[in-house]
Amino acid sequence: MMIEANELTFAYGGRPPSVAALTFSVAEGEIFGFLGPSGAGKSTTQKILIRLLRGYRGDLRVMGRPVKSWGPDYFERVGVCFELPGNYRKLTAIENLRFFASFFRTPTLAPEEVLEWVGLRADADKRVEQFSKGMQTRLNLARSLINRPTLLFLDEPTSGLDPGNARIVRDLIRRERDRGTTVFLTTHDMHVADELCDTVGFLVNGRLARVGAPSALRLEHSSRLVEIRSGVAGALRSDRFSLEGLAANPLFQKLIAEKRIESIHSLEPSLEDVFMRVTGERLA
Amino acid sequence: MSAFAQLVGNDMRTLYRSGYVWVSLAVFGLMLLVALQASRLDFAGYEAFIAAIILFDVVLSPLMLVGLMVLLERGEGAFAVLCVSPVSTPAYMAARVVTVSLIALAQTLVLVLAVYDGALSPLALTAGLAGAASLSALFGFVVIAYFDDLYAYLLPMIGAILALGAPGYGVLLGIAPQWLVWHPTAGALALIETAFDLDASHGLAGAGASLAAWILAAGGLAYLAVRRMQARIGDAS
Repeated sequence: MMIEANELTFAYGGRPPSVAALTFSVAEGEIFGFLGPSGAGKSTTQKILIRLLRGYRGDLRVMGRPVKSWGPDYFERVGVCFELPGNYRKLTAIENLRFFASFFRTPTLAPEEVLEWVGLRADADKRVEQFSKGMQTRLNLARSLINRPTLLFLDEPTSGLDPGNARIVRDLIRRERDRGTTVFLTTHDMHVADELCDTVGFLVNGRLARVGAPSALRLEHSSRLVEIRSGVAGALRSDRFSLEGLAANPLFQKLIAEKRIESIHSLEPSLEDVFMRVTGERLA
Repeated sequence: MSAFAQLVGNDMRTLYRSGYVWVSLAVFGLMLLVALQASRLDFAGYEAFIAAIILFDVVLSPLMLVGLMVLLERGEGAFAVLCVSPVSTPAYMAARVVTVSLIALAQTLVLVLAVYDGALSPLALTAGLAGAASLSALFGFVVIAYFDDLYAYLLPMIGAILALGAPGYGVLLGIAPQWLVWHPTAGALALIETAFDLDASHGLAGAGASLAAWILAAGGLAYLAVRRMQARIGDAS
């Protein structure tokens, strides 16, 4: 396992725990999505995992070692991409990457190559202060990949990106996973989670309500219905059928036989629907 | 190049490109002007006056620059990225202390050469200046940990600089030196005064020990302050 958390609990000062008794594991090479509304404890969990917060209770192991026992060498193998930009604005994109790459003892990627991946090669010599928010977000991701991390933490990686660049980023994340990188993704965007994650964990009020594969969670909460739209006398009509005994349903057979079907959709709930059913909370 | 050298180089580059180095030079210019005017006057205790000016000058820019740079890095998110890089917290702090102390040291040595032509001990002077500058830089981390924007930081910054320079101008205000012997920069001032008064080498060891102890204590406080800032990364300010 890449990450193993057992009864992980953390409280700020004397306040109630921000995360309580979290138990989950993340396998090597998977994309694990930590989903929840603002204030659910996603950031706190990630901050513990990237060693910004200490003083937690419970057992937390990353790459087989307790997180507490790692030193700065942890980040030789870990990449972190925060939601907000993290670059020196007075430096150019390439200067930023060269600077951050200089800290690694292990070989790093060529900054030009990583900038190419995120579509910023042509902007390498521009100061970051001239970048749009979307460009800074992509530069963030490029910086987090510079050391070819074994474990990559991403916080809302497509936030503020236009659809084209969001696709570039999603493709890049999938490519990293295919290369063997484990990705720990925190988001409240269920579409991103549904599309990218192999496993998701629903976090609400500091507690993990459910962990599972998105497809399995959707199936589990599926009403097992299929909706058929068909054209009748120039108008569209919609019928819903139970998947049980669908083939023997006379109306379904009639629609098939008359070839009037315009579309067929199974009525699986979205991941957001499942989240609301499981947790009773909306994602905000 | 080592990570430490990269950090020092980047700090120098950031100071130049952000314009903060010009702020520091402008303040230094004013101090130099005051010292030059004073050097034309003939009054008793001139050396003590110069020592006070020097102490105040050398503690001024490190605290100011550390605060400004940390604020800039926190605002741009670069601080967060440094915290999740292989750079250790002590290395990050040490590089910053060295950078701003070197600038303060260079400025103050120029000031000394401009206003004093008597005999002096370069070793005692450099030790006193470097110690005072390092202390000021370390207290810069401590102070800035409590503020999130420049306007909120300005007044406490001025207060901290005045407090750090107290042994220097305190003497000028008639405060008996023994009342401030406990002060973090009292050891540094003793070393600086000794540099101008070559016969007064007694007490050097005590001054050096006091300075070293305060640097260690300030280093510990600064480390805790940086850890506090790290724990607040990503929190709504």
